[in-house]
Amino acid sequence: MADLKHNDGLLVEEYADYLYDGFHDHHHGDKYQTGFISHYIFSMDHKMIAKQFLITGMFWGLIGGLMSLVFRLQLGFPEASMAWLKPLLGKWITISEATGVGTLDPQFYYALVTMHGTILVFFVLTAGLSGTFSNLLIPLQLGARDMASPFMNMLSYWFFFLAGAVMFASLFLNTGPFSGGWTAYPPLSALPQASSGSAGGMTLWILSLVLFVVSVLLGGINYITTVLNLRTKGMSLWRMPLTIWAFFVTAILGLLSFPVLASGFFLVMCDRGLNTSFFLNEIYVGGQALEQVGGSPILYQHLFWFLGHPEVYIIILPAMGLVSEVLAVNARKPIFGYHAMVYSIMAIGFLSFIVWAHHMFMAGVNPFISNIFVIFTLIIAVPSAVKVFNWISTLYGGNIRFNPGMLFAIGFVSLFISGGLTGIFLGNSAIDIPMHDTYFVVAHFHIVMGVAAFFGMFAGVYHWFPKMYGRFMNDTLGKIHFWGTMIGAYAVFWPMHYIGMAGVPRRYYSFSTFDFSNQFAATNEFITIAAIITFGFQVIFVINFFYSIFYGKKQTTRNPYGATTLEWTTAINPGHGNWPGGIPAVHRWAYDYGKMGEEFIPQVEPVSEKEKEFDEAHPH
Amino acid sequence: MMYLIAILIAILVFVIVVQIGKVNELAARLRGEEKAEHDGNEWNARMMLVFLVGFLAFAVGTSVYYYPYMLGYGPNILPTIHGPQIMQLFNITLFFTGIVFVITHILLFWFAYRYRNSKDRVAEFIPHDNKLEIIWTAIPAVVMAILVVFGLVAWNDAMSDVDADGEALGYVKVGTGDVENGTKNYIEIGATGLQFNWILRHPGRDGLLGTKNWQLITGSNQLGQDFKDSKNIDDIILDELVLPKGHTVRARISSRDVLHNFDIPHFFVKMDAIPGMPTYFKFTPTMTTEEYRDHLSQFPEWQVPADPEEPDGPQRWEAFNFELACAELCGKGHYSMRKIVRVVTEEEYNAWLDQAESTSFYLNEIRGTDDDPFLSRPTLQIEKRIREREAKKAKPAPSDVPAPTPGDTPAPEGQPLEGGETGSIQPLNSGTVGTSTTTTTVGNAVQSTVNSATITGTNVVNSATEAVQTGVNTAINAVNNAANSATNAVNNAVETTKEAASSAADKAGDAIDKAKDKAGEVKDNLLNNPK
Amino acid sequence: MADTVVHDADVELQDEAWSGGKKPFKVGYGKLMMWYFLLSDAFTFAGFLIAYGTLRFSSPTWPVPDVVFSTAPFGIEKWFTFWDGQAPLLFVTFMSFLLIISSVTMVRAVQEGHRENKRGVTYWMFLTIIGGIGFLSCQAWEWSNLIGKEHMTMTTNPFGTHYEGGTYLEGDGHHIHKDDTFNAGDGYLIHMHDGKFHPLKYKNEAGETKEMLMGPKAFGALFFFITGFHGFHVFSGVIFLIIIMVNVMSGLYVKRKNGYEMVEKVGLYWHFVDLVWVFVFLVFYLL
Repeated sequence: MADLKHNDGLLVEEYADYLYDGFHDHHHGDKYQTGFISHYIFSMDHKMIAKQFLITGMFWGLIGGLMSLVFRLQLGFPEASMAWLKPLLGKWITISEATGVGTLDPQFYYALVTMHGTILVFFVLTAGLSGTFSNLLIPLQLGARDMASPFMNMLSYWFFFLAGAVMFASLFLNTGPFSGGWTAYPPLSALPQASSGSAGGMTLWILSLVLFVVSVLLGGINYITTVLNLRTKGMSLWRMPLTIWAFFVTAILGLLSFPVLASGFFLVMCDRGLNTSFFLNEIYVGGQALEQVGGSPILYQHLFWFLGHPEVYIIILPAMGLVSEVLAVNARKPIFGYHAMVYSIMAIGFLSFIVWAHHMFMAGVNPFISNIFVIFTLIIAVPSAVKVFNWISTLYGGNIRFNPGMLFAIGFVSLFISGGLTGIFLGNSAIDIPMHDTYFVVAHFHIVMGVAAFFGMFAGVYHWFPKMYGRFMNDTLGKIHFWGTMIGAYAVFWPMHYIGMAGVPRRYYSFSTFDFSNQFAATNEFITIAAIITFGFQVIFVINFFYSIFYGKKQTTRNPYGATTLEWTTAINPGHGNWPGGIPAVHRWAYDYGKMGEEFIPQVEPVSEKEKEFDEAHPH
Repeated sequence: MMYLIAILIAILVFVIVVQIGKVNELAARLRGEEKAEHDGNEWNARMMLVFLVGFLAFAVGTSVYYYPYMLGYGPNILPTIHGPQIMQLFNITLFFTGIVFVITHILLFWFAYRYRNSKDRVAEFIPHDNKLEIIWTAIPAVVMAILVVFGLVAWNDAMSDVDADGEALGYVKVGTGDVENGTKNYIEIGATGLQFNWILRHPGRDGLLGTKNWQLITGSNQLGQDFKDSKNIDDIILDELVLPKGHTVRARISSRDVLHNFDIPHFFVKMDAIPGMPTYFKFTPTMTTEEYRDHLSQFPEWQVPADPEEPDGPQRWEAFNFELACAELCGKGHYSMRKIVRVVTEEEYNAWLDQAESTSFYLNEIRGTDDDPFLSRPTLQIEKRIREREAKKAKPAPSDVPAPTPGDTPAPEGQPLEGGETGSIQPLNSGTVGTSTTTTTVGNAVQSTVNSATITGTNVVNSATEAVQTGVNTAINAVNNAANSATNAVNNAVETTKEAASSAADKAGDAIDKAKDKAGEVKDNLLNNPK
Repeated sequence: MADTVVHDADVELQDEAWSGGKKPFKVGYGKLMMWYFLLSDAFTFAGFLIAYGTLRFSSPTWPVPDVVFSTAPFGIEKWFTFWDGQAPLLFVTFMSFLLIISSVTMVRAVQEGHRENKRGVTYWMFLTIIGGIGFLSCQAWEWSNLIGKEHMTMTTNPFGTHYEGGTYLEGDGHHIHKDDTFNAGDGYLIHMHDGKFHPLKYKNEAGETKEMLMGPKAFGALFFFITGFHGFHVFSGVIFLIIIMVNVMSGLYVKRKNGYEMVEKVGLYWHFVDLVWVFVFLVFYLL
C-alpha cells in the first residue's frame, strides 16, 4: 500500500477499509437536484450551502466594512465635506447652505456604528464563518454523505438570507435604521421617543435577528447531530480533526445561548409595542413622564450578555479550529498537544457561559457579584493561553510552507495574542473602571474579533478554496492581501489602545467636545487612512476570490496539500454523496505528519506492524 | 461625472489586480513551480522576521509616543485616592502580559522563519509533551491568581460605599480633609443624566439631597424635585461641579430617560446612570484643579497655547479642567454631554457654598409662589443665613450674632421629627435672634395637631432637664440649639400635619403653656442654682 | 498487503458506541434533533422565568397567587362557602392535572407504537389531544376571566398586596366588607365599576387614611406573556399531534423503517411542554 498515501485517482474501494451504507443504491443520485433552481438556489447539498453562506457573508462583510469607512471618515476628517456622499446617503448628509460643506447626521453616524457591529458580528462572523465551514467540512471530514438533515440545512441558509433581507430593508427607512448600538440596551432601544432609530428601524432589527436565531438553531442542531451520529467507521471522537471539535462545541454554545437572546428580544418587543415595563422604570422622555414602572434595564443586559459572551466564543472557536488545521498541514507537523487542545476548547466552551457579567461591571450591578465574574474571566485566559502555546509549538521543528492560508494562520496567532492579552486587563474589574466603554475596549474586541477571527476565516477560505471550486486562489494576490491586512489592521487598531487609556469613550461622533479627547486629531486621521487602505486590500481578496472561481489555477491532484484528513480523499469536485462508493473508514488520528520519516499518512491508511511498534514506543 | 470616473477607476483597479495575479502565476510557471514556491517561501520567511522587528518596534515606539497622553502616565497623574491603586494593578498586569507578548511573538515569528520549508528536511514528529502542557497551564494559572487577588482588593476598595456611620455634609470642616484616606463624612452630590446633558445637584448645607419624582418633572423643575420634602429647600443645581480636596464625595447617579454613564476620566470615576435606580460611586479628590494645572505647567507639551488660533491666549495647562462625560450610548447627542469638575481647597469650597446657596432652585423659583409648600413659614433657615451674610457684607463690623462657623453642622432644615428627640420649644428670652421668630412660629404651631404639640411639649421638659444637667454654658448652648430645633420641630409639625386645626389649637395651647411654665421653672432653677 | 495491515487495538473492530459508523446514543438523528431543539427551547423559557424572578423579587410587593387565581368557571368557587366563596388555585390545579394526564396518555400512545398497534396509538393520541385542547380551553377561560371580569392586562394589575395592616373603611360589594381587618401580606383585588377602578380606602394602624394601591405592573405583563408563550407551544403541540395522529391513521408509519418514531418525537415535544408548565406553575402560582 505504499502508494496509498498519494491516493491520486484511487477509487475508494481500493481503500483497505470502508463503510458501506447503501447510499448509492437509491438511484436518485443521477437526477438529484440537477435543475438550476434546485442546484444553485434551494440546494440541500452541504457544499453548495456552504458556498451560499460564504458569498452572502462576503457581501455583508463588504457592506459592514464600507459602513466603517463612512464613520471613520467622520472621525478622521470631521471638518471635511461629505457632500459627495449625498447621492448615496440622501437625507443623512446635511449640506450647509453657506459653505456647501456636507456633514453626516449624528443620528445616522450611530446607525452606521450599530449596523456595522450587528452585521459583522452576526451575519459575517457567525453565519459567514461557522455557517460556511461547519457546512463544508463537517460531513467531508467526518466521512458523511451530507448533514443529518439536508432539508433543515437548506432552511438554515434561507432563514439567514431572509434575516439579511429584513436588515437590508431597515437601512432605507425614513426614520433610519436602528441606532442604539449592536447591544441594543433599553430604554434607548425600547423608546422611539428617545431616538428615531428606535422606531421602525428597531422593529426590523429585532425581526431580522429573531430570524437569524432560527437560522443558527437549525444549523446548530444539524451540526451536533451529524457529529454524533454520522461519523464514519473508525472515526471516534478522539480522531476527529480539531476543526470538527471546534464546530461541535460552537454549535452547542449557540444552541444554548441564542434562545436567551431571543427571550430578551421578545421582552423588548413587548416593552416597545405593548407598554409593558420589563426593562423600563421611571422615565421622563419626549416631554412626558411614562407610566412604566418596576422594570430593570439591568435585566436586559443579563439576558443579552448571556448570549453576548458565548457569541464571541462562537466566533473565535471556529477560527481557532481552522487555524489549527491549516498550521498542521502546512508545517507538516502534528498539531502540538491535540488532547490538550480539545480539552481547551471544551473548557473555553464551558467557561464562556459563566463570565457574561464582565460586560456589566459598571452597569450598577452589585459589586460583590462582579468578584465572581472576575475570577471566571481570568480563568478563561488559561485555556486560551494553552492554545497559543500549542500553536507556536506546532511551528517548532516544522517544515513550513507559506501559502496564503498558512500566512493568515500565523497572523491569527499573533493577533489572538495581542487581542487576548488586553482582555486580561479588561477582565479585571478594577481596571475596567477607567477602561469600560473607552477605545481600549474597541481595540481589544476589534483585534480579537475583527481581525483575528477574520484571519481564521481567510485562512480557511484560501486553504479550502480548491475543495469548494476545484481551483486555487492566486498565490501572489493572497500574499499581498495578507501582508497588507496584517500591517494595516495593526495600524488601525493598535493606536486605539492609547486613545482608550486617555479616557476617550467609545461611540463618540466627535472628539472635539472635550479637551481630553480633542488631542487626537492626528491619530484619528492616521487610523482612518490606514482603514481605507486596509479595506482596499480586502477588495483585492474579493477580486481574487471571484476571479479564481472561473479562471483560477486548476486543481490537478486530489490532495494538493498532502493532508491527512478525509476531505482530500474525495474527487476534486465531489458530487452528491461525497464518495462514489462506500465511505472510507478511518484508522488513525488526523495528524500523522512527519511520522517515521513519512511526510504524511492519511487517516484512511491502516496501521502497519512497524508502525504499531513505533506507537508503543511513543504513546500519544 | 465624478461617479463615472469613480466607476472607471474601479474597473481599472480590478483589471490591474487580476493582471498582477496572472503575471505572477505565469512567471512562476516559467521559473519552474518548485523554484517559484521555494523563492516565495524564502521571501515570506524573511518578511516574518522583518515584521517581527517592525511590529515590536511599532509597539514600543507607539507606547513611547503616546506616553504623555495616557492617564496614569507622564503628566497625567491621577488626582484621586483609588486612581493610583488601580494604576498599580494596571502596571502589574502590563508587566506580566508584556513579557508574554514579547516572548510569544518572538517565538512565533522566529520559528516561522527558522523552520521554513526545505526540501531536504522532514518535520520532526512531536505530537505532544505533557510535561510542557502542565507547565504552561500552571504558570498562567498562577499569574491569573495573582492578578485576581490584587484586582479584587482594588475593586472592593474602589466600589465600596461610604461608611454606615458616615454623615452627609454640606460644609466641610477645614483641615479635616485627608488626601490619603478620605473622610468618614462625605459630600453627596446628585448627578442625573438626560438626553443630552447632566443635571448636577449639590445638597446644600444640610448635606442631604431631597427626594425627586419623575412624575413631577416640568419644564422648570427639570429633576422633578418634590418640594414637600424640606431637604430640597437648599439643593442647588450646578453649572459645574465644585468639590473640596481631600473630602470623600459620593456621587448619587441616576438618569431621567435612557442609560447614561457618569464618567470623569481623570478621576477614574465611572458608573452607569439608570432611570429609576440610583447608583453610586465614591471617590476622594487629592488635588485641586489649580494644583493640577501647576503640575501640568512643567511639561512642554502643556505649555503651548490652548487654542492654536489664539497664540496669545491662555496656555494649555492654564485652560485645563477636569471634565465629566457620558460613557454609555444614549442617542445622537451622546458625545456632547460635557460638564466641568472643579476641585478647590476647603476654604474656597465653603466660600463657594455660601455664594451658591442663594441660587437654590427652590428659593428662586418656588419660594413664595402658589406651589410653595412652606408658604406659611415666614422665614426659613436658609433665608436667615443669606440675610445675615448680606448684612455682614453691607456692614463688615462683627455683629452680636456669631456667624455660623463652617465647622457646625446646623441642624438640618429638613430633619424629620422622629421620636421627639430634638423637639423643644423654648419660647422664652433665650437670647437668640430667633426668639421673635420662634414666638411667631409658635403661634403658627397652634395649628398643628395634638400629637406633635404634646410630644413636643413633653420633649421640652426632657431636653431642658438634660440641658440643666450639662452645666451652665452647655445649657445655654443647648437652649440655643433647642430654639433652632424647636423652630425645626414646629416647622415640621406644620409641614407634616395640615389637618385637625381647632382641637389641635386648644390642646397645643395647653401644652405650650405647660411647656412655658416648665421651661420657666428650669431657667429659674438654672439661674438660681448654677452647677 | 493484508498481512502487513494491523488494525489499531483500541478501536475499529471493537464495536464501541463512539468509534464511528454507528449512533452513540442509539438514537436516530431525528430524535436527537428533537432533544437539542427542546434543550434550546428550555433556555428560552429559562430566560423568561429568570426575568420573572428578577422583577418579582425586586418589587416591594407582589400579588398573592391565592387571591389572583381563586375563581373557576361556572361559579364553582361559590360552592366553597367555607372559604368565603373562593377556591384558591383550584382551577389551575385542575388544569395542570389535565396536562399531566395528557402526558400519561402520550406515554401510552408511544407504548402502543412500540407494539405497532395502529389503533392503540390512534386512541391514546386522541385522548392526549383532548387533554391538550382541554388545557387550552381552561387557559382561555382563565385569561378571559382575568381580562374581562377582573380587568387585568399587560399593563394594569388590579391585584395588590397590603404592605401594612389596617381596617377597611368601605366595602367593595364582593368579598370585602366595611370594617374588615387585614394584615400585611394579604392580597386583594381592586374591582372596576363603570370603567374605572375603585381602590378602597382604609385606615392603617397609625390611624392614617390611605387608599389601596394597584399591584405591580410587571405581574400582568409577565403572566400573560409567559403563559401565552407556553400556550402557544401547547397549541402548536396540539396541531402537531393532530397531524401525526392523522398520519398514524392513514397507515404511514406501518411500513417505515423507524416505525412509529415520529410519534415518539411528538411525544418528546409534548412532555417538554408539560415539564415547562410544571416550572411555570411552580414559579407563578407557588412562589
